[in-house]
Amino acid sequence: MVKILGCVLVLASSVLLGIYYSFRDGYRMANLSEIRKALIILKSEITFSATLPEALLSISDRLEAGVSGFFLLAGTRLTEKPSEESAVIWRECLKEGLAHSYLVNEDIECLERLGETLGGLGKTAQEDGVDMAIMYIDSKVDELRGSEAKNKKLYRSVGAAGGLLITILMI
Amino acid sequence: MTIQVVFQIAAVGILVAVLNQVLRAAGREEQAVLTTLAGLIVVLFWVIQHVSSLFTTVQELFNL
Repeated sequence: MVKILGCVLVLASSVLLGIYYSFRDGYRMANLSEIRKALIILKSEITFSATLPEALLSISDRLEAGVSGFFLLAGTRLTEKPSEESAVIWRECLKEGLAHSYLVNEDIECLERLGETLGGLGKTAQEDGVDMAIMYIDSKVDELRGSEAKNKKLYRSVGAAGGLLITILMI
Repeated sequence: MTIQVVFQIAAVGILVAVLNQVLRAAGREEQAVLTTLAGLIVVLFWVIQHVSSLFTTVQELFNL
């Protein structure tokens, strides 16, 4: 009886793990689209001469929960510590604010590079930095859209087959 | 040797074959090869005792 219960638990958990992994690409795409929206707002704020903390706080108001926490955190920290370098604060906030998002290291590194252009450089350089980040996001979203259906099937099948394999090995 | 081992090996073979096909279809040849290799090693661990006892039996049978 205990053996059967264990088998069912292992099988169910591996199937659920497969399903979770199959949804991750979709959640990452949603996060990237949300950041893209934020960057478009940020670019317009830079164009209309708003300061970086003001722009970030305004973005956090307009975004839905998820990545808005990062912009709120960065805006608040930059307001509290105006003497500190904005790139350093940006990097710290990326680690804290996006820790629970579905973004991967590659995405975070792209945003870190964006942080280096924000705050200090001229308006055109900042706008170019935002454009580069938007281009990266667009290419990643296209790539993910192409592979999402295939990966979804793959993760689900591997989850179920892996669970069955572990169950057979344990019996 | 119980018949259960034979069934277990058959089930592992089927599942590894399915995983192999799925991974190959998704363009992940490396993982497919690793899965096959892992399945082979697991089955070898199961049968190695039986193969050893088979050799001993053959040696005893022919007085080698």
